Amino acid sequence: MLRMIKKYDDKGKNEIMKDIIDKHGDLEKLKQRALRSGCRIPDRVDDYVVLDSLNKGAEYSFEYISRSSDAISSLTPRRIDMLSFLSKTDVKSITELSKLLKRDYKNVYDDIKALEEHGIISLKRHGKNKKPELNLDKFVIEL
Amino acid sequence: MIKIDKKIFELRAGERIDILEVKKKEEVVYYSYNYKIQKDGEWILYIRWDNFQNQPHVDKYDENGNHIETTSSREKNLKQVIEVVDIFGRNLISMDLSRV
Repeated sequence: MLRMIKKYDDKGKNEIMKDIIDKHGDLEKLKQRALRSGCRIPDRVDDYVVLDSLNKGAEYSFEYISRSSDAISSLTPRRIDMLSFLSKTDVKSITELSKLLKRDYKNVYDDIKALEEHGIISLKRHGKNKKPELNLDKFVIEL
Repeated sequence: MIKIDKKIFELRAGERIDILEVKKKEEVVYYSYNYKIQKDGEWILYIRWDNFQNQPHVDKYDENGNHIETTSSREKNLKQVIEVVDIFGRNLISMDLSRV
């Protein structure tokens, strides 16, 4: 079993709130929309609940748990190096990351997509680019 | 203190549950458990249990993400949902949700 955990500080929580507001509008607008659409648009309902709770000062944590051997085998040494690098360095795009790692863009892109598929990395829009961000502070392999 | 726990639980290759729980003093006051299947690299939502507006129910979606039906349900917790998904897996899609 693979477990990865990330706890968000105030900066991280503000970014989540900003992303939700950029996507749906402010809390009141989102509330009206969520009530109108209900679970026909499930992300809207969840985003409303998250934004409302964060506005009330909630703590926020993310956890990824996998029983799939695919997730463990996706953590190749190069990908672990990349995760370690991303935990210390703020990069604006996959292009910048590939340059800093001195690796071929396509290989880095493929690694990012594989890790994104397992929820380990998120790609956040940053201007014209997609910014890779870690979804974890630590990971644990339980035997 | 309010706590938001967001989780992804990958049960086996190509099947996962996306989880959102909001807790007040460790009691879950809001949940959504979203059963997803991977198709062509995309995670598609098929079944969702939630208690939005204190109305526990289960929703079903087609492979394009369109909402198909809503059925009322008893309150669920994560353990129960994992058990159901472990037992029925992909067969859940064609099952009568009122029995789940």
